[in-house]
Amino acid sequence: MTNPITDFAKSDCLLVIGSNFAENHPIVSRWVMDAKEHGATVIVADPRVTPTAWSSDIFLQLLPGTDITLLNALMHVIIEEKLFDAAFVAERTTGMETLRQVVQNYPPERAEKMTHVPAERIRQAARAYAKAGAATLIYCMGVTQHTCGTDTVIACGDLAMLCGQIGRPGTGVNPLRGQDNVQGACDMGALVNVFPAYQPVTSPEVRAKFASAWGCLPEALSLKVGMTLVEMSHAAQRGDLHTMLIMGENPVVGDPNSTHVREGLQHLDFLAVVELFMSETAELADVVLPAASFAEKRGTKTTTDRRVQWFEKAIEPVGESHPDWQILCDLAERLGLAPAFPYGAEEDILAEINRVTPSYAGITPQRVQVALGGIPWPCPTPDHPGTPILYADGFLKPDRRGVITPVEYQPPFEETSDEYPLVLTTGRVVMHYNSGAMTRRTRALREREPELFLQLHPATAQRFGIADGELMQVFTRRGEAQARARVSRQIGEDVVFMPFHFPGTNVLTLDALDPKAKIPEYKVAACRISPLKAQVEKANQDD
Amino acid sequence: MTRVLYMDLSRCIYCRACEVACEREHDGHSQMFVQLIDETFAVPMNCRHCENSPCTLVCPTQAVHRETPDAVTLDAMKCIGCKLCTLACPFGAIWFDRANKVARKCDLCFHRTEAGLEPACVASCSARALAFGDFDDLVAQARRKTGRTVVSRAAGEVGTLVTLSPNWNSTTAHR
Repeated sequence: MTNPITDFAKSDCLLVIGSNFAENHPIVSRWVMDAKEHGATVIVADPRVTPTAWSSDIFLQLLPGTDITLLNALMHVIIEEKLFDAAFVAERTTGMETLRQVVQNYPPERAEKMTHVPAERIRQAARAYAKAGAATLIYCMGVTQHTCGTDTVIACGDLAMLCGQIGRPGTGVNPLRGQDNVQGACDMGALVNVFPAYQPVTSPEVRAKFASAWGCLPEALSLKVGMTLVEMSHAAQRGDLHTMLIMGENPVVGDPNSTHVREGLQHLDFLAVVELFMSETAELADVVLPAASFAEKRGTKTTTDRRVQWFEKAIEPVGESHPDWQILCDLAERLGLAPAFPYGAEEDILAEINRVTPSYAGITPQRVQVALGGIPWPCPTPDHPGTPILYADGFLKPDRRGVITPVEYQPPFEETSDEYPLVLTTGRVVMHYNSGAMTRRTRALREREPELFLQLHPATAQRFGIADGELMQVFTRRGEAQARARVSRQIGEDVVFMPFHFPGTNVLTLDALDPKAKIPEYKVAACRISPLKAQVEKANQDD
Repeated sequence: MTRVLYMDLSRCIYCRACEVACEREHDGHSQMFVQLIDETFAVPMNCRHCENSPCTLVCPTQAVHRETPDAVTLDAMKCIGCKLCTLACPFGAIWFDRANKVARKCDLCFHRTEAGLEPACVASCSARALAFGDFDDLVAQARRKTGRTVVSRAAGEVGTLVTLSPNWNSTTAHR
């Protein structure tokens, strides 16, 4: 996020696209509600009338996968009505003319046909965002989990730059990260192409720096970009990947086209899983190592708004469980790599982070342990206060100018057909977390959301002969799953929704990837539905 | 001073954290019931701790009684399971625990408020829809907040309001 979460309260207009924070980041609602009470306009774009959308002033119910069209149409209106920040565009950006050429082809009337959002409502939203003193753009996986995910994020950045809605309190481009430390994991280089602080693995200079910090030969560190998660299960299935160590991840439930994921993992020579519970993935492992939970660990976590926070353990690790870093050190020792892992405590790891990660250099153990709200990076020196708001006086380019990069609408990988006439979109519900490995084991949460459901419009239910509360079948080109029908007017007629916290959903989704970020298209698959009893009757007839 | 559980219905997002927190505090039984209305609105329902409480009037054993000026509570040891209180309650806030054959209701987290803590539902409310405190204070806050929202909205409609000083903390549109 470019701005702190608390900044939402300072916004005059909040444009929420592809985020259902009321269910997935409920705390965020606190500051959004504060903004509303101060008179802010809340715009929500989502295929469903989610609890996030309930309190919106302008609701844009778009078809899944049409986010770029919507964003381009907003920019079309803003340019047509001359509502953009001409001074900001002239002084702080480049690329305006190319944007003008592309978005002129996205008038709201054309966008209405593609997105199903009324043209007049697109105009209202564009005016509210562009005219606001401070407007913030909040996005999440509703825009990223597409084969055009990276481009959609670029369009979000274009909109903010066009209107000068960045670099000030209450503005910004704000992706809400999913886990408490996913920002920290990315910052630390738990990605395929970078070392800590996004320093590219392909650079020999960067490699030399890390080889020296870790006391190894440069040749010990690869200059090649690695495989992403979905690519790994594809490689395992081809026999190109032989061994995996999976920590705190449940790909058998969480990854798309999960039947193939399971086959891939079963094809490995050796699989070790570090887990809290016997998850669906752990069940396939040769060795399961028990991990310590959040309450049994200490160290830092980095929040979605880049605040590095120290936390202490509440209890000692139970049973044979260990913190993940100790498990990695133990493995390294057995592999003869102990000298590269000279850590006696969590503070030693943070001290190394301070040395090799420029944006974390000033976030020392001594400092962060007494900074209760955390310190937002970049924080280059121990006397630097941290940076709550990014790009206040320039972007990370040699000329300090942001590059406005126009993008075009791209259709989803899989479109609906006569055989698969409905769009299946997936997401989360408030009671569960990710693959459900923890929350499906928690009685209070499981009782409130006990099983896989499919949300569908009453007209769709009638068309396919499905009654509310009935068990039904869902089919895609990848496979089939059983779910309980939840008839609802929160969703449009051509779209159905399933949460992915239960094993059935990702059997159905497709593993087509965004070519840049390699994120799978969880949000659009073509599907067909039928009542379960029709299946039973058909089976009986066949007998 | 009467301390009450106050609800700002416009802020509730149906996350049901209050129910789960209540369960944790009360032996796995929630005394809070968030109602989903027309798929677009959520109302947290629990005991209102009525000043003239019908449940205490009908209880034959005084199991349901006013424990403090703030709270109507239920003494399970005195409850005979007649369920009259559940009939008398206009809100459906009292329910019957079949396993233990006693009525159950919100005790306003007496064990927490006595120790200076907020009730569990309030402490865990994500969107700050729930508040606990002096009734008059909370109503005064609600009045003031609504006033501010009305003014801010009006300012949005007409463009700008009179500015008092260059650095007043405006949230209305001006650049």
